[in-house]
Amino acid sequence: MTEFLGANNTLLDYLYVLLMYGLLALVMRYANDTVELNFRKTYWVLYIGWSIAMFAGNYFFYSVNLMSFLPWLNDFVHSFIWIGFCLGFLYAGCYKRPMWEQMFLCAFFSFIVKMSEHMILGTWDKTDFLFFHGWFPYVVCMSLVDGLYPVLSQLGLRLLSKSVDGLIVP
Amino acid sequence: MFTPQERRLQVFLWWLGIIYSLAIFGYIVPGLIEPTKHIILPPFIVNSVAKIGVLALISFIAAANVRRFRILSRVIALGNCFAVIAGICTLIWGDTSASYALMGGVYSTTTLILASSIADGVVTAILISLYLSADKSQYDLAYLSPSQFRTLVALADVMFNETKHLISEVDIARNVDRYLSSFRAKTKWITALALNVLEIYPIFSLKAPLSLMNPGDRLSFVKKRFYRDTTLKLQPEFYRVLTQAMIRMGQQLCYIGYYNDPRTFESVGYTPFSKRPETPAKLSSNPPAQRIPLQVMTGRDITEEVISADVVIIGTGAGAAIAARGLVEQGREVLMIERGDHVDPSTFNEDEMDMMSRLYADGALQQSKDFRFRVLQGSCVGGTTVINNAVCFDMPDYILDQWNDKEGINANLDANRVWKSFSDVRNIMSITQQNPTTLNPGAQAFVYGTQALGFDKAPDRLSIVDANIKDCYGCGYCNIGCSYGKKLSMLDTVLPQTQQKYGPHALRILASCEAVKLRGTGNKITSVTCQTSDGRRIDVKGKTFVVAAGAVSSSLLLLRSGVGGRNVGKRLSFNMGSPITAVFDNVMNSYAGLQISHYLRLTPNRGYIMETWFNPPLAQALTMPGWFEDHFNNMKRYNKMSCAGILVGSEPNAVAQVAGLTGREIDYEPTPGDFQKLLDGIILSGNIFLAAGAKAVMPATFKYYEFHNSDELANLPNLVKDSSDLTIGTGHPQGGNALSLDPKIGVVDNEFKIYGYDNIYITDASVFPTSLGVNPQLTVMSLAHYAAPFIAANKG
Repeated sequence: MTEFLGANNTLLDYLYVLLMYGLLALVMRYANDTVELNFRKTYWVLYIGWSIAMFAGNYFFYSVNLMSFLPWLNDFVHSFIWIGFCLGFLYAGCYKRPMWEQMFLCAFFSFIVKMSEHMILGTWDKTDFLFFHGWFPYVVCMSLVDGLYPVLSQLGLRLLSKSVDGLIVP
Repeated sequence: MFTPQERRLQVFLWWLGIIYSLAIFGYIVPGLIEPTKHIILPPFIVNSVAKIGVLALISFIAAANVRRFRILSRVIALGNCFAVIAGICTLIWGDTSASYALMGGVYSTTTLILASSIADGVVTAILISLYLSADKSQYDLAYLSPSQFRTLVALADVMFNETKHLISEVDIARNVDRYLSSFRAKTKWITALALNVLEIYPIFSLKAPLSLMNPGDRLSFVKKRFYRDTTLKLQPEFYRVLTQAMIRMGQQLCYIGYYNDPRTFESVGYTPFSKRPETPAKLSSNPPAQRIPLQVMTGRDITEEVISADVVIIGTGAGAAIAARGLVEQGREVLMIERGDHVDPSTFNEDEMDMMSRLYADGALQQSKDFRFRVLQGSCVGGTTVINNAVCFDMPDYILDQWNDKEGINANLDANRVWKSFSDVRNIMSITQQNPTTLNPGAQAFVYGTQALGFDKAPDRLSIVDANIKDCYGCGYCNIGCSYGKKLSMLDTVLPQTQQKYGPHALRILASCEAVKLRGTGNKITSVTCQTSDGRRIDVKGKTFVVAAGAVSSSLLLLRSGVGGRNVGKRLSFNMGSPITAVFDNVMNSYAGLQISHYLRLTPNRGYIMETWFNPPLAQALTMPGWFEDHFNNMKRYNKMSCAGILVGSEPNAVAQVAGLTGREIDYEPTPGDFQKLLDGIILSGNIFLAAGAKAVMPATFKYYEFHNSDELANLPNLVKDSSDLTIGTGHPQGGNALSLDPKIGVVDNEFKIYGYDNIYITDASVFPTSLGVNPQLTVMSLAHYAAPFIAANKG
């Protein structure tokens, strides 16, 4: 059960995390309250690609000691709900903005989420990461990695658009 | 004579009375014959006998005349409800440990209370069901509930207290019920809800419901709570908006029920066109136009779930029809989808209520979010062109300059091509200045007043309007559909002519079918999901799509579909208007002529134009100043009145959104600048009428004022502080999907294509980046004409 929920975590803690995602999505909606019709296919392609890649990647990078262990449920909600739904929604609203702005937004929102998950679930807790010591630099670095979402999405879409019709390549 | 449903209720009440009477003995006799420990407690017996005795008595009285003592059936039901609630409370919180010996058995308190509560509940359910059925059967209503109907009867009773000999309150309410049942609208239930709230509103002041008050008390209550308190602004803002909305709706419903009834025409001095002495001669010397039949499909004609078209146009009004014509001319096949019905012009008649319900969006009940601003739009094949005044103005030069300003909106329209389109459309629609002999007779007073004040000379312009009307009779029914084919609406001209010339397959029209959502993949729109009037969904596939459903509806369709980005629904503006009515000593019969006949435009531009204007009695009553006896007395002077409307091109500060209780919300509050312009225009129009010899002028203020001279009128700004003090409305919503080369401002580019998509265009007033300040019909048509080649070149 510890591997699934994390030490001392209950389903209620996960509800708090989901609430946090919801509140952040609400903030995102102020700027853009829907995924534009022409971007919807792209959104779902990104959803599938990112969710699966993140879910598997989080475990893979843990196994090669580049990331801390994410309990399975945390990995699932983080990948399939936060990255898939929410970060994709953020991207759908900001992909026409300058790239640095997109990267900043993705990194900033991810930072809030990782801080929340750390405080609520005790995850994202790796004391030694690259040259840094302590969990905070780790959270900051991981958030910066999430800031690459727009760049990687753009590259991925560029590749995919050669074989899939109807994708918007920013 | 009772209906069968009422007789069933009567029988039930008789039986209920008998059962309650027997129950009296059921309580007393065991207590006397076989005393038990608890059940004979004197208070229990006394209270129970009193309760059951009263219920028996009430049941017998109610049964004696279920119609007259209708309220008693409700009292019995309410009494039983209280009994059930008391039983449940006792079961939850009471001491239910005791048991009782009854009729040879021993029963726990819980069992007894449960049994009694269930019995009361069953009696209540049966009673309510029989009551509702009996109540409904009494009136044979089509839309309103009996309670709403009675509220309306009660309201009509105080609105038209002096007129019992002309038309009864019940007839007024029946007319309204007929009206409300005759059209489909998402907003109708708000009207019904307003009646419910009006009914119970007095209870909060510890008074009887509205329909149960005696007429004197009711009149003073309505005057005090709805008129005095709102005009003196004694209530908090939100509360005041609601009370104003309620009473406005209630009042307007009463006027609909009353002034549309032919029995009242003589009292207001109105003669319908068909009964005017000069009509036969007019009809024989200038026969009604021969109409080209228009072929229109409805959902019933479509059996498939998916149909296909080359170009799909949503809407059939001015912008849609001209675009369709242009596309068909260039070899494209068009399918037009119209939310409203196809009303055959041969069925047009003089019944305002009937025509409003058949031709207007939401039966002319469409309002802004705060219920203070009425937005009139046509909803039928032909769109607003079927019900507008057909008045045509070229787009003011400065507006095109403003739109094309590279530092501002940057619409980047080719001015030469724009003016060429105006010229072409003027030819297509036979737009001409109207014949002076068929004008609204009351407008002459406005002309005299304008001349007296010297506004008839250049650079100011006083003129007869241009309109797409040919050989007009001056019947005065432009706003309810021209049954004589003289108004050259899309229904009468462009649509049937195009079908006739290119064949019905080239221009198909699907009516009574609402475009609900656009579907697509990537940058292409692939289909539009539509809902027929019977609720069936049809997917209409196409290569190219054109949205031209009108400023509000087009914005809402894009919003529902997630098409067009964050600018959709923004920059909505209006020709905000408010009328001023002038009363003269002599009979003018302003209704007997072209409704809008003159306009006055001042130079330098003051931000408004004035148009002479008059309506048949119902529409005039809806904007007539005054309440209760003031309104009634004003309507008696209907044939001695002249009227002008002031149109202010508003700032684009309104928003259309898919929100609120109807999913169709217009959020608008006039800016202080626009409101000031409106007041300025009202005062000037009032002075014009006074200069022409008007006895009094009356702006459409919420609180009633009559002004007899210019000095009094100059005080208007001190009496009218904001839009809640004035009746304002529009038939000219514009914007929502602005045209601009800058995607940060616009929804469509300079080819009218929506940003981010390859095959969808907009050709209605929603593309206007700002309000025109003049009637927009000609500009809508001309811009659609301008856009048609771009659309035709797009093959999806």
